[in-house]
Amino acid sequence: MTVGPELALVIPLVGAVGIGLTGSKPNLREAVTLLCAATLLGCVSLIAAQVLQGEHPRWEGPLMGPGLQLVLEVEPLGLLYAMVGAVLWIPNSIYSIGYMRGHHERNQTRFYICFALALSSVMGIAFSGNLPTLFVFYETLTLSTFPLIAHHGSPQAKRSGRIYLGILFSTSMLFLLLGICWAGVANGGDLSFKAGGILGGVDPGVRSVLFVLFVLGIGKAALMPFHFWLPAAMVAPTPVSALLHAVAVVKAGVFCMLKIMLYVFGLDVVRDQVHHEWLMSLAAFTILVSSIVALNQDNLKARLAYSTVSQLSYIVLGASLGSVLGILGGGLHVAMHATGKITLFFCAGAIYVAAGKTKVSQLDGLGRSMPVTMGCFAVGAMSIIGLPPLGGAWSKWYLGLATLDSAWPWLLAVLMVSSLLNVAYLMPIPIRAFFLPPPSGGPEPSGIQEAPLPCLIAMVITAILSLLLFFAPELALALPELALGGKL
Amino acid sequence: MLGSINYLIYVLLMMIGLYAAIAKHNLIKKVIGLSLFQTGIFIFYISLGVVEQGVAPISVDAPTRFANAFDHLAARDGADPEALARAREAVEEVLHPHADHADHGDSHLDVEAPETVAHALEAAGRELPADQAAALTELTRRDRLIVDGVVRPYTNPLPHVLILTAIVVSVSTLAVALAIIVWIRREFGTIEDDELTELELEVNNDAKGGEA
Amino acid sequence: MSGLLPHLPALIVVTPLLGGVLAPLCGKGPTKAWALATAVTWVTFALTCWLAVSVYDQGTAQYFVGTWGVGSAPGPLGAKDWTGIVGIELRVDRLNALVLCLVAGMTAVITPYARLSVAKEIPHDRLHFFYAVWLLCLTGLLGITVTGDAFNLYVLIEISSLTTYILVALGKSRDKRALTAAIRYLFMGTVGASFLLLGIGYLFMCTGTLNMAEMATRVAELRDQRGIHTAFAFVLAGLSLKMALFPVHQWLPKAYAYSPTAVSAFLASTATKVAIYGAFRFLFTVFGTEFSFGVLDANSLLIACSCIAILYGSLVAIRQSDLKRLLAYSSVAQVGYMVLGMALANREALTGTLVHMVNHALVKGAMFLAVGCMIYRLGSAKVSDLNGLGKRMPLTTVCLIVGCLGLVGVPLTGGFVSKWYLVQGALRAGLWPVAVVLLVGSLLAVLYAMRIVEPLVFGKAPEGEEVREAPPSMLLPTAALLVGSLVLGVSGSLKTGLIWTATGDLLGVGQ
Repeated sequence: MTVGPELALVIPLVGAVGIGLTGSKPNLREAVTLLCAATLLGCVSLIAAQVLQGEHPRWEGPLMGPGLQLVLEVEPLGLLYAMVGAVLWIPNSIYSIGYMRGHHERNQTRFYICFALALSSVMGIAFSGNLPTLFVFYETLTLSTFPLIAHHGSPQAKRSGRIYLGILFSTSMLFLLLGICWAGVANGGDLSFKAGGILGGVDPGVRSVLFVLFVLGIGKAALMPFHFWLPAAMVAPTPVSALLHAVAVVKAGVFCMLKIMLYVFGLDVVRDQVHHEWLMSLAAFTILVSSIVALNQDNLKARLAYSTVSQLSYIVLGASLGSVLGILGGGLHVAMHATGKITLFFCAGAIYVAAGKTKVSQLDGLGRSMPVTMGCFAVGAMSIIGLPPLGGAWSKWYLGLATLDSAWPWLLAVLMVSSLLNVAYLMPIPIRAFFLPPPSGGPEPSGIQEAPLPCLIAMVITAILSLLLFFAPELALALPELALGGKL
Repeated sequence: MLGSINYLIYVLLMMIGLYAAIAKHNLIKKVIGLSLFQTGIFIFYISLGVVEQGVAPISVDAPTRFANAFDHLAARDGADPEALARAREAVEEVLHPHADHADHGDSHLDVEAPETVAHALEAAGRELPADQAAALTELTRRDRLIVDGVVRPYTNPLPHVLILTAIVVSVSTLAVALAIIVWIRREFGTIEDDELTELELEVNNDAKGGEA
Repeated sequence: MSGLLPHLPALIVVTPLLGGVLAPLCGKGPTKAWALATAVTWVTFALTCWLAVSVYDQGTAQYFVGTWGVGSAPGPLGAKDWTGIVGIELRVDRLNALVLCLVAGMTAVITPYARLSVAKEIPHDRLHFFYAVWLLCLTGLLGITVTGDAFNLYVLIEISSLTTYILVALGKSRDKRALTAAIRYLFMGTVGASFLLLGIGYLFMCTGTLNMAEMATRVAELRDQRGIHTAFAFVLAGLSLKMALFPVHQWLPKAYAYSPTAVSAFLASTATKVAIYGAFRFLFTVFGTEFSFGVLDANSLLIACSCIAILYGSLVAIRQSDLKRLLAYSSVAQVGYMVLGMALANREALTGTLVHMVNHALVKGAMFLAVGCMIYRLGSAKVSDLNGLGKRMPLTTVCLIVGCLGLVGVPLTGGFVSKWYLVQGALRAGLWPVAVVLLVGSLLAVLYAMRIVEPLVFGKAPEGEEVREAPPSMLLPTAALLVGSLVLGVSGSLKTGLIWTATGDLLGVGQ
């Protein structure tokens, strides 16, 4: 059975309509969400099966004007990203049910609709076959997630929403769109993704400018100094932070980065013909500085946010090396970091719902009343740090190899130092929870119970996924390898 | 200098009008300025249409043109009256064929048709010296009119037609402007521009006050 | 029916003219004159569509009014062929076919809306006159677009302008500042039109013809004459005033803000567009690209003005507290986009301009209509009125939000496509700073759009008063325009068809 990539876009859209129609009956509405998530996963799996057999499902949309067309084409790297999004949407939906109801949030229908729309945009980015399509869905993702960020409607939420829109729109419109148009003008109008890049014949000076525009234009990659939106966006309900800011939005950024390096510039060009040292240095700087900032954050979600900023730059670093190993490591890290970080966010949300605590310093002894949550947190943390037997180990391994293989082996030191910093800002949390006594002075913590069941189910699923990815990384590895044309 | 005096006047009028429209505070004076400004343009158009000695382009039929041309030639010095008379007859022959020729079926002769005129000129040319024949050809052109024995060019009527239209437009503009000014006087109680600006600001502030 | 086809160019102008004459005879009251106007606008729209299809298939349509000696027979002064030299030629090619459809279509959609909205904002004993003037204004706008004669164009510009002054002044019962807005517009508009008249006079003086196609061939030979240069300056100044290009835009914000809302929508979506069409006609057809942009270098001036217009209009729009003024200043900025694309004068940029013209007409029209819905129910349209409107008037809210997205040029709306082509055009012309200005402009548009969207989605409604949703006869036209802009964003048939070929015609490029 052949399934086109357009189906992956349509399923969440239909889901959004279904959610809107069933908005008055919460149970039915959540059932629609789950059904839609499951269908999407099935659809993406079918596409994956085709890709692994060497096919490239393609769909051409309406011609929007001369030289401007929506084209979807499945390539392995995009498929990996789509898989991550589709797989993690299911536990996230389960988790949302527990969180949103446990927390008595308002406007839940709008929340689920926007979620489905965001997923549709994610699929669009993942399967985009040319730069205009990528840009279109990049922007719709920003738009559809804006109401999620400012969900509460409080002044602080609105402020965060403005920062979010402000940074993402200004970078994408000023730099990315300019870069895309310029690329089209410079090379005669060909904007489709091609193995080996499309800018071969372009003047080297222009190419370096384009490199800067593309890199700065992808604000979603949260490279410093365009990272402010990410900590600000943490004001959103936790499921939003979990899926969108551990998986969909930020990964959209780094995925675009990988895709552009691979299919627009081409690895050879990135390595030898553009000034890319500044990007490497910036990524290294972001990795270290945001880790240090994370150390000083007492707010749990803010700490996780800065951790995300740091981890994203691993992928940017991998992309900027312009080597096969770098792309492989980066691609793997998309999947590995996503499963690890979503687990951490699930736990943070669960702690907030069950215990009402948002600060690291309040977590002493919480492991006794919430053992499952804190256990999952420990698993997620170890995956992020890159300790075996968890998935994160693989991606860090390949990234490390990539730095050794490059002309800048000192980057390995950056990775090592950063891993130590990871340990320093993540591990104290489960250690406090399990080994320190509960605070005696404050309100009696004995009333705290485990988080709602849906939340627990969700976080256990993602924690197990992290484990599985260590023992069976074949699928996650196979796709980037396929994208690199078996150059290993 | 004197030849372009109307152009100077048009620029002057326009500048005076524009100055009044911009600098005067009284709306009526502004409207007057605007009218002056437009009048300047009318003078420009009218001046465009003027041709030295030009006459109104009233179409004259071929026989009359020939008759006028012969009269004119006859009045010139050095004309040969006999040759002219013969030529005149020859032309008559072409343009007014006698009744006995009519049975050939050219009773519907088109005297304005270029070939007929050419034919008539050819017939006259046989009777005349070359310079006279050339003068006749020139004088019988359709865009020449001979008035009181003087050859005169037609003036192009178009600019005058245009400016009539433009005058109508300007009068309508004036009417609309005055109507609006009457309304303004009724609503604001003044037609002084600076006072109106202040009143407008007051309305603005009222609206803001109501909002708060 | 097909016997009508050759007469379509004339019928398009005559139909609304007749309607305008008949409307006052319908008698007082809100319904009869309105019904006539609606019928007339829809018939006109159908005729323009028919004409556009035939022009697209068969090429330029010509129609001669008051010319004699068509063909080989000589005219009164002996010239061989008097076709279009003394008389008036109506000439419809792909460019004006597009503008005709746009103008007639927008009017046809807005007129049904006008019934309730106008009845609320204008005294009832004036309504039949309102519709008469409305149709006459349409006549003028369609006439400007259809005519091939320079002087005729001036007269029709004045017809549309005079009626516009009246339409703006009729806003006086809602806000008396409409009157001062109208008189100031009248002063500026008349000066502008007079400049145009003067420019046409110089052109006539140098070329001896008023027919624009004829002028074009003669201007090409006379391009070093000072009279032609003078004509160019006057025509450009006059049209800039009519387009409301910075720095001669001051009439626009007030005129749009205080006129009856249906009129704001009508003017925003048709009048400036027609003026821009006029500029296209003069700069590209009459003077020719080489003369306008090569010999005289008008593009540097136009690019500078339009860049300032984009930035200035958007910045001022951000600071407005009245929605209609906000939209009006946004129009100043959007005119900048269109003129910019025109001045860049390459095919991408021109395509961008034309797409933007259509898109902006649809979106800005829809925005004004949505604001009209608010005024209909709330009596005013301030940014503070938007708080909590999402709960009270959900459909209007959706329209406003979609309209904002269109104004910003978010992907999948027509605004994105036009921005795309404009940026490409700027880069192709080698002017990357201009591309940056374009993009900064759309960022500023995000800011003023946010001022509308944020209170709509997150604001809290004031206590007390119950407010109902606007009636369907007002919502439907609004929604129809927005759907149009979305279709424009996604479907390419109009862009690859009529617009792309029209830009090719303008630049004299093959298909």
